[in-house]
Parts: sequence; C-alpha cells; structure tokens
Amino acid sequence: GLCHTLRKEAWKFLLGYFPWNSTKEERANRQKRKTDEYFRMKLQWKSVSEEQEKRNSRLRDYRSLIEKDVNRTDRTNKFYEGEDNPGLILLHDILMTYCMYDFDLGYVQGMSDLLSPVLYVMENEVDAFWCFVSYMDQMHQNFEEQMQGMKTQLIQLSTLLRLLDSGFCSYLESQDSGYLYFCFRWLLIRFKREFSFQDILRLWEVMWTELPCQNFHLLLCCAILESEKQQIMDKHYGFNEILKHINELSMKIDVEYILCKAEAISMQMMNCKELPQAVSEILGIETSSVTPDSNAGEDESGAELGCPTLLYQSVSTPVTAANGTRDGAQQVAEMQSLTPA
Amino acid sequence: GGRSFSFKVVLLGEGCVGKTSLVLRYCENKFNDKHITTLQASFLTKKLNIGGKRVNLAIWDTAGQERFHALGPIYYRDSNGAILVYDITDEDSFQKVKNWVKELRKMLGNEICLCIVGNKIDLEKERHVSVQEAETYAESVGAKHYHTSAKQNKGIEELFLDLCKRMIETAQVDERARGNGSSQSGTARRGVQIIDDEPQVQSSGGCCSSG
Repeated sequence: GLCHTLRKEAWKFLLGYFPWNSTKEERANRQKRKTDEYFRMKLQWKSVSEEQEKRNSRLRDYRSLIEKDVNRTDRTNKFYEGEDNPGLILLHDILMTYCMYDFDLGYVQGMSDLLSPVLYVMENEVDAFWCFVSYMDQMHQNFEEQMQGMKTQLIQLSTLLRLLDSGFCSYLESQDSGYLYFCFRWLLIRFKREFSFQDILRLWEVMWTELPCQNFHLLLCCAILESEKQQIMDKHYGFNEILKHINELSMKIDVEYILCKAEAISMQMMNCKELPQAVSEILGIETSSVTPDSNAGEDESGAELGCPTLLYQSVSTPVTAANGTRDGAQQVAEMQSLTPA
Repeated sequence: GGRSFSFKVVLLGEGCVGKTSLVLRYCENKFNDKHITTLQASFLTKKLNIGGKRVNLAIWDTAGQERFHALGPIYYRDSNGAILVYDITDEDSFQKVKNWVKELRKMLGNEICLCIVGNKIDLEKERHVSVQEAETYAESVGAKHYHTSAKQNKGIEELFLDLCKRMIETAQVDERARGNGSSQSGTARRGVQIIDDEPQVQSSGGCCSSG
C-alpha cells in the first residue's frame, strides 16, 4: 500500500481523474475546468426551491435517502464523527451533486460507503467529487435498476471458484447457496464493510492498479472463501449458517493474508496451462501468452488447481512507498508487485 | 406440553424505517440511532418460552431500499412470519409496506403471519401516517398492526411474543390438517406452502428464485 501522504496525489491517477501521461500544466487546467463544472452542478440542486422540490419526487427521494445515509456512514471516523462535523456536509453535498451529474442513477444505498474513504483521502470537495465519479464509472452497474453489475460479478465469481475448487462449489449448491448471494455486500461496495477503514484504503488502491490482473477483487473473494471452506463444510453449514458466518467475518479478516492468498491464486491461474477461456477473459489474461518458461506447472496437473500451493513467480517491481512493517523479504517482494510502480 | 418450535421471521420495509434497530433491540437490547445501512441480509436468533413451549426464532433482517427489492425472495421464502415495518413519520414507507403485503400474499399464501409495524413512535409529533388508516389497512389484509419505538424500547416484546403465539397456532392448525402422522422432511418449512411447482420428492439440488 501507499504511505498516506502520497495517497492524495496518487489516487487521482489511479482512479483516472488525472491521465498518467499528463503534464503538470495540463493537470492544473483540468482541475480548474473541473472545479467550475462541479460548482455549476452543485448550484443546480442548491437553487431548487422548496416549492419546486415538491413537484420533483425523484430529487426529493434522492435527498431524503442521502440525508438518512450520511447520518450513518462511518460516524466513528474522526472525519465524520460528532454532530456538526464539516465532513458530513461535504459527504452530503458531493452525493447531491452526483445526482445532478447522473440523474438517472441518482443515489442508491451503498454509494456513501464508496465516497467516504475517497473524501477522507482527498480532503477536498472538488477532487473528491471527481475521483468519486471515476470510481463510480467502475461501480455504476452495481447500482443500476437491474443490478446487472452484481449479476455479472456473481457469475464470474462462481466461474472462478469452480475452477479453483469444484468440490466446494458443489457443496454450496447442495445448500442452496450456489448463487453466492452471501457475497453480495462484498461485491456491491468492494469489501468496504468487511475491513477497517485503514485496510480499505490499502485494499482499494491495490484493486485500482489492476495488478496482478483485472477483477482482482474476485480473487480476493475466492481467497476468503477458500479460507472459510473448511469450517463451512466441516460444520455442515446450510443456507442460513453460511450467510451468518460470512456476515460475521466483517472486521475479522487479515488484509495482508488475504492479499497474499489472492495473489497466489492469480499466479496459479496465470501458470495454468489450460486455463478455460471464460476464466482468462474475466482476469484479462492473454491465453496465448502463457509463459513457456514458467518454472511452475511442471509438476502440476494443470486441470486440478486445488488448494493454492504458493507458486510465486519472482517479482521485482521497484516501489517507493512500502509501509515496511511486513516480515520476510519474499513476502515483501510479492506484495510490492501489487503497488503502483 | 414440552414441545419446541422453530420459526423463521423476516423483516421487510423501506430503508431507514428501523428494521435493524427493532431486531437489535429485541435480541441484544441495544440501540444506536446511527446504525449503518443494511446492505446484505443478516440473521439473528432468539429463544423464548411461551407457556411451556420452547420457540427458536430465526430473525432475518434485510436491506430496505427499493433497488434491493429483488433480493427479497431469497430471504422471505420459507418464512413463518413477516414483520413489515414503516416509519410513522414517513408516508412513503407505509406505501411500501402495502407492496410487500401484496408480494408476500402472492408468493407465500395465507399461511404466513403478517405483522405491520409503525416504528418510531417516539417521534409522535411528526407522525404522517394516521393510526386509523394503518389499522384499517392491516385488518383488511389479515395482518395485525403494532406500534413500536426501538429507541424507547416500546412495544417490541409484545410484537414478537404475539407473533410467536400466532405462528404456534398456525403450525398446530397446519399439523392437524395434515392428519398428524406425516412427518415432513424439511422441518423448517413447517406451515409454509411454497408455490405448487415443487416436485413431490424434494431433492437437494436446484436453487432459489426463478423456479
């Protein structure tokens, strides 16, 4: 992960608010333009009179939902605690302005969870808004009427899990849980409720790098599920117990461990000689370019991936901002590959 | 007699009407007026004893916003009781209750015990749903109406106790109707009729929704 002071700048690039190849001047211009645009949209909802709002039920509904949710988003965080915290007003105003930016979507519960860490890092209304817009571009489908993004992700997750552990998949199916609905919250708001605020900052920036592969968050799901599989199957959990068990993992998962495990899974998949087409598409892996010189896979059957056996490739991406608290040089090397170079 | 019952109860209703607060007050006697939005159903249990009958309640709390409506069936199927919550200061939330009533009656028939609950009576001054209207409506759909305040811990024990008694009654009526002897395999679905496309021999496979 990045050290905190770098986040404010780095996230603007990671989220795509600033293009990587832009010059300082271009960025300054862009920021100026975007500032004007933001305040123009903010003025739009600010200037709606009470009378007008009475005739605009959608705006009224959005506002009412936002007010309810701002009041209960991360209220134990310094940035949002207490009654008159300016952070709350910013959260509210940015979400209202987003309704003007995308009135069709407006506000759906869960979006305040996505904005809160971005605003916390940016400490600036305009930058936070545009970074949130970029993040929402990725997450938009999760919140749409048909929740297509959720459906797609659940199917993709099931495809990956089946390759990794078809036995576990069959077990889940036998318990009416094959659709993996118990992962709904993980996917809807990218684990926001499953990890501490600080861990989320780290986890999200890792995902935004799209390293080691795209849809890495789905491998994080697989890693967590693999860790829980034993207990779920040994205790013969049914539909109710599985959901309860998964819900209760919230704030108990070790972010380092799960990142390592997910990366291990990605390595295994990349080294798998006959990776199913569907899987390589999900992860954005070119099937043709499966490395022939890979040192893994010789003693692997290829078809049965089974339990991760930690077949790491050596990774040597230079990194400026490792937080340096990890033990074991090998592990550091592995994790650095996840941070933006 | 020393019988025991297991019932599944689901809480449904618009976002921010106090579903989670009702359950947390009932099961853990806690209250937090800034509880985070529920985005995924959760599950709590409570054991009680009613006149010598032991009751195990599995209470499902769900996400409220309209957008998450499609997830409802996953959680209300096999329910013996449903608690449909609205906020007495929010007229819209009462309309949403009506939608849930229609859906539940259609999907689960008359064997599910319905409770309609007007929550937040600590905010009586801001009431926007008339008591008369709510009670009349509840009666018209065969539901019972309750008023609660999770904040002040009012009416909640009564609500669940009453619901349990009704579910016991329904289960017993149902048992008698079945002529005693037939010990159905899936014990959890006592008293609930799932729409009739279910095959005679219930196998383990398959999945919920979209039958």
